[in-house]
Amino acid sequence: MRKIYLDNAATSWPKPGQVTDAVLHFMRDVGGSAGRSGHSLAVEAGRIVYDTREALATLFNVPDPLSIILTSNATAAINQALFGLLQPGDHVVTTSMEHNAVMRPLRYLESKGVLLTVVPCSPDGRLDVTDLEAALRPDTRLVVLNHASNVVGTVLPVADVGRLTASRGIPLLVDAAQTAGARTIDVQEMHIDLLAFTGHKALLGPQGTGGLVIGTRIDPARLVPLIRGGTGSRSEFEEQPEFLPDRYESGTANGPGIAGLGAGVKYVLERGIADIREHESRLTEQLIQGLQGISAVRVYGSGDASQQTATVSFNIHGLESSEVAQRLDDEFGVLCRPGLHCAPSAHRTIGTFPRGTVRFGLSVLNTAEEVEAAIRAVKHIARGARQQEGH
Amino acid sequence: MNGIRARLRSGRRKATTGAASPRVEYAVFLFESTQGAIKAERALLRAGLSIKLIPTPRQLSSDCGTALRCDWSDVDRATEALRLARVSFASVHQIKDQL
Repeated sequence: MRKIYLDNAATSWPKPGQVTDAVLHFMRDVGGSAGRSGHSLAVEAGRIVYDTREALATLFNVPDPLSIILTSNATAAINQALFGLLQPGDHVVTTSMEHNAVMRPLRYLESKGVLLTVVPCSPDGRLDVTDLEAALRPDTRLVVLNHASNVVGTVLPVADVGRLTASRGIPLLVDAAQTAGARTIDVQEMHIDLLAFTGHKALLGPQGTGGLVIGTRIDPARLVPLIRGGTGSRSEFEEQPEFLPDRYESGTANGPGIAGLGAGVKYVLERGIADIREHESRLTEQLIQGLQGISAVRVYGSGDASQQTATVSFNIHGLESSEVAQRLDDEFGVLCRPGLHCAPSAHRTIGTFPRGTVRFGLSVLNTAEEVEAAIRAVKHIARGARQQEGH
Repeated sequence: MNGIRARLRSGRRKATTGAASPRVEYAVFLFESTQGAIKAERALLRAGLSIKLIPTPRQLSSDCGTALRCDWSDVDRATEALRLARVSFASVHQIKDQL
């Protein structure tokens, strides 16, 4: 049975061929440690790392590629930003649609004296910017929010929030795990001070890659490094360097992963966000309409493909999401993710806690035929559930 | 590599004068980080200069393991190209190599 992979909101697969090629090329032909040693293969590794930074800078409109810190994933980037900036007594504002990558560090910091306000979103996952504005206080040190929900794909109005936070002089941290590579992100135009992204979702890179963009309004002296250690620079000093990217990049870099990430970003740049978005939006609309056409199925979120990423959550009446996901895999080869998706607060907001949902996450490499087959599979399972209920 | 004639921080440089000698003169740029050196390499190659990344000569600094070398006659063009590309460097040094 041919697999239909619809778990791209967790990690995208398959990857474009050039991503695999770039990882293999690094492993087979380069192999040096970027920033360590001055020999030709270490320098070549450094070039590959730099080229990835430069491609990311083009994609996010970052003025200086060296202000992009490469991390192991978005979670590491978010932790660097939150623990690096916030002190006991600081006030921070977030939304009820956050992933645990944001919520767990914030709840921990709250237990250590950081003051936290969680702005509620609507049941379809939307944020009213005036609600967020009302939560701002004179001592608000940071606003942090996701660009799009990992549960229902609803896109939050980051540019509007950015205008607001910039006018108040409050730093803005955006969790772009679900949107980097799928939606336009311009850190300057959207007034994003800290952009956390992952490499292995819509950027189509390998797992274990991601990063944090440090905006020009962030003073590195006031953003404490979470990890300190060897950087290949200032080796005679036992203190952490202050310049970027070394201040936040201690330890040997993930060369093969970063090489693959660079190839993924180049794929995105060559294809263009507009084309990617158009393709994903068409498939998302097909999926939402197909699922809404099944009487026992309830689809969550806006129901409007233009308002969301290619991630769709639903439930079949009378069935647990885990059971649906298992049957989709076993009987139809459709791979997806059931449950709470590491986002209990988001599920409370949309009214699906603790039950959770079945989540289909599409990517630019999915096809209309695959979406059609997935809809047919859900229809088949839903029909069976209704017949069982009838007896 | 020997004959270091100038060493100034903050990206400024000082040319030295002397009698013509049968030696090659190089400019060696130093950077805070290797990624900064590679950023400079990319900018200078795009500007059409002939340059080479080299292990930082031990006598100069241990700030970062990779330095950038070009002919001393290109030092003004290189400095200008780095300025235009907004690439900062820690210092530039004149070095003479025995032929």
